[in-house]
Amino acid sequence: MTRVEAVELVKRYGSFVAVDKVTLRAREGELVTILGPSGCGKSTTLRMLAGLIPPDWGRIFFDERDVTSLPPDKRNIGFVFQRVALFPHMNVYKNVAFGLEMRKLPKRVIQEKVKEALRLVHMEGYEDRMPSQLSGGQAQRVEIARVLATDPEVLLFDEPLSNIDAKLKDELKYEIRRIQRETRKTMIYVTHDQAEAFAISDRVYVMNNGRIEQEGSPLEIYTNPRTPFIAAFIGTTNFIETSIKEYDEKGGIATLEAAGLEIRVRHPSILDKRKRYFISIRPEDIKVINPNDQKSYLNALKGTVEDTIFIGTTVRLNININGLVLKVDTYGAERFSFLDSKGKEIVIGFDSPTILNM
Amino acid sequence: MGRSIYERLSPILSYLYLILVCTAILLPLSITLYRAIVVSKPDGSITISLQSYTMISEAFWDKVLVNISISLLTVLIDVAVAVPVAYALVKYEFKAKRLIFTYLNGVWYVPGISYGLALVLSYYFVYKFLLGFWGFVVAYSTGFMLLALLTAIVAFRNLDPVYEEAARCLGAGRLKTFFKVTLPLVGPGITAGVVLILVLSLNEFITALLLSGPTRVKTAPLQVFSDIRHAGIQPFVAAEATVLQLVSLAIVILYLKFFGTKYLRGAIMI
Repeated sequence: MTRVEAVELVKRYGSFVAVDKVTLRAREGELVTILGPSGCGKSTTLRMLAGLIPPDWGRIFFDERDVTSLPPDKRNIGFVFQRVALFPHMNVYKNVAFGLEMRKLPKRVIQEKVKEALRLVHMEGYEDRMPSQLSGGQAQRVEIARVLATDPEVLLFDEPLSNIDAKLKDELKYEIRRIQRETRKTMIYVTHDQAEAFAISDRVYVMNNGRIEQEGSPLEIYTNPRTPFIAAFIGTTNFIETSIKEYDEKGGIATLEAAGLEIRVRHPSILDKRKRYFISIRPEDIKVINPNDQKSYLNALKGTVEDTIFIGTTVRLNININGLVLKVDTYGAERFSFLDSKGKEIVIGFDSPTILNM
Repeated sequence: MGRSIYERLSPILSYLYLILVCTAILLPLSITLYRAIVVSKPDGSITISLQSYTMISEAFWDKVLVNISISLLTVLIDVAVAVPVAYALVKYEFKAKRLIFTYLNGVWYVPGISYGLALVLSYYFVYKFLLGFWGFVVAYSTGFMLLALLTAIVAFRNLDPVYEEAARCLGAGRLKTFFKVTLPLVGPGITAGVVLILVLSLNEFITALLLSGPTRVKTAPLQVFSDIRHAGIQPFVAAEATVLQLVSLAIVILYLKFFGTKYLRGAIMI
């Protein structure tokens, strides 16, 4: 198992800074994801880790070894690409054997390793097939087998599931996690899909505009986003711009004001009374409550159901409160009762929202 | 409601137009074959005979062999030189890159006679070594280099870099990546240049005519021309012309059998 460390990586294309002082670490056997929107610099960062493009600044270490100036073939990495990169002129066996042949291993050893790698991705029996005879999911499995066969120190995955249909994607992401756990390899995985990142990662780096905006476990990032960008990018949220109305230092509660509404937050000592703040409330953290039960919640507001949207596992309500529209998700059997609630008055309750600097 | 006269006539007129155009293209070629194999008897009747092919002189067959040798060597030299140059032009960034591409495309539009004359002038009068068979090979190689270069450039440009990157990440160095991955993948694209050079060099007339003086080498098309001048359009001369057609056709058919039409798009219409 290998530790990966990238220190202050910079990559410029003319005046455009694609990657701006990115520092990240992946501990031995850890699955770390770089998550961000298209064009944020995540793939460029991964390609620098692989040696496919040289950084303009910064260093890359595999354990204590400085690999910054090494070409990809000297780094002992496994790279899975976004587009299927199986060699079209070789069958599955030859594709998987390619990296082993480059390492000049004996033929018998190559045969065993190819067999083992294909078993790991459940693709035994496909040795003679050409890449053109494989489905997208099968080709991606063979591609994973090809990199695993060489026993690389580090696995680098560049949005490997972005061209695969939703159902298969769901299946493959858990496969990738299983394989990573089984092989105990250090893996850096790049994706723009938050659900994919959260489902498989030990830790997540969120990137935006060439910079790392936050690093943490999926739970930390979801429940405590550090910037408005992350709160908006990760899942769905209600953003409200507020100013401080009252500040009860003793009770540890502040009252914020937005569009004539009062919203109470806990732990206000971090707040500067002169500044304005965004607050973020996730739709799933807001509940439709019994009007008699208002005191059980830090915040209870009355509003009118403006719209209902059936998403499947949830029914989303758009609640209009004094002109401010909040998204509220309802779950379970109860959700169906809201499908014809348009125009009705209801009461919603929620706890202290996340406060974000503007 | 019945269809209008225009709607009913439209497909018939379209087919007639197509047939007319195809006839205009194929007629001269068919007439050569007709002249070679159809014999008129003194009693006015006509018969089909391959006798004209037996009358083709030995000199012509010698010229065909010389021609094929020159063409094969031209292809070998052109591919050997053009492939690394095209690879470097596509893969590496350097200052004069755009200028070089503009220059290469510019050469394409120079008329054959001007280019042939330029070859004769430069090799015979400047370098003084354009003599005999090898002089011809050198001149042809230079003349058709551009075609080899352009087809190789297109082949390298069409290659998705992801395959080379994958090979590098799997532990292959630059050379191994080139020979094990790049070359097999661009190979069919490069063969498009090979087949075009083979066919064009076998049938090249203007450059051959200009070079035949200083080199004292005669190619098959020149032999046909010379026979027309001395004997007129006799059946055996038409037979010689059809032999050249058949050789070119055989090359194209063999190519299509192995590689299909994919890499010849734009050059052929099949």
